[in-house]
Amino acid sequence: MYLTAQHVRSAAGEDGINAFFYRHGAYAWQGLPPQGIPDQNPGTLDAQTIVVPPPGNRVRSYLDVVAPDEAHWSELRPAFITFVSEAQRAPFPWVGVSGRVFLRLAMEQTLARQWQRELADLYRAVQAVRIGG
Amino acid sequence: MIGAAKRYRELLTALLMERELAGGTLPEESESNYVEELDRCWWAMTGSEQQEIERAIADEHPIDAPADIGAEDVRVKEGEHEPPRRAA
Repeated sequence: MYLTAQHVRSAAGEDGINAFFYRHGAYAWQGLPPQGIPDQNPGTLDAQTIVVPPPGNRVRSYLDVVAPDEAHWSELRPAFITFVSEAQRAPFPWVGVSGRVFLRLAMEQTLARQWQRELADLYRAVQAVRIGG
Repeated sequence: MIGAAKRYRELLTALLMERELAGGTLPEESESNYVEELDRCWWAMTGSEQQEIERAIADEHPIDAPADIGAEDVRVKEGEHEPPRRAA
């Protein structure tokens, strides 16, 4: 599965977080996701939450979460917290793996000033799109 | 305790993130668990490690990030296999 939330801004100044939930179906793995996931092979889009309609909006931040489809939040959430705590204020983007969960976070400078709030908003968006999917 | 200073920073970040996810305040039990472990790490550190952490927290500056992350979003429909963004 590939869960991603991206904070976008349109040319007209609309600002919001869109979220996407892709599945990989029976294609499961242990450890790191196979090469190409999620950038070349995001999976099959199962659900999305759109606040600012694409395309062409500038992406201001995003949170990517990649794990086998069967992974539950009880596995994803601790992986997320470990990812954040181990990043220790390194420059963005952050990329990390915790167990079989791959995570990636990027944000622009203006959002980085309040990165915890931004990250919490992105996390809630991926959580919501998966529950809805 | 080996790595107490590193663990302390990790726990502190995790606590702040958990608070943010919870909307500002954690349930008392979760908060106490964090505080207890933070205390354990704090007292396992040397005096100079404690001073270094206090100094680092006081001097915290914004995390480095690019002015623009250089990506734009893409329209994707359910059932499709395209990622939702690309390089701008």
